[in-house]
Amino acid sequence: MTKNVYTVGQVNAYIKNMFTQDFMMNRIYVKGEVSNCKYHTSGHIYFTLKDETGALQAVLFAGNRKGLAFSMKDGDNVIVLGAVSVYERDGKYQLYAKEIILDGAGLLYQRFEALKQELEEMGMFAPEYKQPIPRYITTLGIVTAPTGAAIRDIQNISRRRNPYVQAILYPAQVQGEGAAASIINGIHALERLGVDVMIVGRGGGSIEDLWAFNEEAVARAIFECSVPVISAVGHETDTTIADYVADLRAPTPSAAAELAVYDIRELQGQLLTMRMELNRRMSDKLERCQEQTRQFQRNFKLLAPANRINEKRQMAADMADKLQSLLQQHLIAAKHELELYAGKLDALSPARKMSQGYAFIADGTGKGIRSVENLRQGDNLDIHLGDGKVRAQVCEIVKNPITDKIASAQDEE
Amino acid sequence: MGKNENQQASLEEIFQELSLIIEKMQEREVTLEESFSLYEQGIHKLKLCNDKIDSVEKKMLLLNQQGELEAFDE
Repeated sequence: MTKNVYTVGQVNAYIKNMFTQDFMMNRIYVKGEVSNCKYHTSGHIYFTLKDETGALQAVLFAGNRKGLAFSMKDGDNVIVLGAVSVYERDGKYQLYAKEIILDGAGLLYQRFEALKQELEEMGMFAPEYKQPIPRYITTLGIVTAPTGAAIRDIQNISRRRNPYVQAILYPAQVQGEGAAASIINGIHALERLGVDVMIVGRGGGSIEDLWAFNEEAVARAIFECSVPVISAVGHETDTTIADYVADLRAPTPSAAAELAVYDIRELQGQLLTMRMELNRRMSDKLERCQEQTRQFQRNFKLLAPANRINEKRQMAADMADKLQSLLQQHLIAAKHELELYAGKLDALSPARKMSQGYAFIADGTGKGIRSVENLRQGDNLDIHLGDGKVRAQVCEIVKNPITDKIASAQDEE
Repeated sequence: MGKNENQQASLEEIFQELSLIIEKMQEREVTLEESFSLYEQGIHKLKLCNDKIDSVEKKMLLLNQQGELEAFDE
């Protein structure tokens, strides 16, 4: 009885070793429902995985917290990747978790991440492959379900913004078996038809519903499409591989329509503005030219020969005026002088003297007689007095001897 | 520029050309003759723009499995 006795420690160590040796136990996916989930202050998370048949203790150590991308709570169906081993202190085996993902969605999410990484590494999301979305389109291709909110939203917005754009719908199956193939067919068909831009998408849904847009084949079809593709999958928060690979990502189908279809009223406004600008610039130019012409006209007028003649005429007239006035001045001056002399003359007038008994004697010709020398007996004389004249005849000439001497002396000088 | 080229130009390109024309018309050195020709070009381009906008309302079409287009009834 006492022969084969082992300590608790020995047994627990032995059992622990069994688990460690088992490669299955070292890396195992376990799925179940979370219960008793406790977030310890140390950062470890203790929880129990259970199903209808039983329960399994589990722990996620703080060091492995990056393996949990969501906030796990009781009732979550999860898949836990970890190792089953023994906790010797309590003599219990438990699951040491490394990664925990939500069941279903979680797996898809992993596939999504893996594909995303793969395509990204291949450069399929690179901006240099993105085709520009043409601003003014005439045809819009749409790959989506013929029923549902997405097509209605796109149609409404497209019609409101520009009813002249031809929308062509490829009615695609957007979820379930065969969805990816249907979407790819749609992309190819519209590409062949030659639309200007294409919206590929659907309304919101669960990750399973949106899954077709995470398929590699769909991503490749979008990537290789020669027509620019706008992706519009689900709501703003849903991002699919199609969104990454599309030339432009729209958060919703409505937004995709806004991005694809230009506003016709805006364009017409722009055209009007340009027309007005063109007219304004032209009339500006004309006005400038007219103003210039007018200015030249004025200048030419000033320089015209007729204008020059007038100028000369004016000059002549001015000079005539000047001459006239100068002449006038001279006349006035002369008149003054004359008056002056007249005054002086008046003072010396023989008439005055004549009134005092003197007379002026002239010969027949009116010439004044100053000497007896030129007179002969019988000559006619006029004797001028202050109030008339007397006609006389020389009777006798008596020469004054002294006067003669003086006169002859004067003559000698 | 040939007429053919204009027909194929996109609205964006025509818009760009229009902007250039308008800009050029503002320059003082441009002669009146040039202005007239620029204006003429501008009006012509505006007309092209309007021609490009096929202003007929369109109903959405549906591309069926046979690759034929048919009216899409909501």
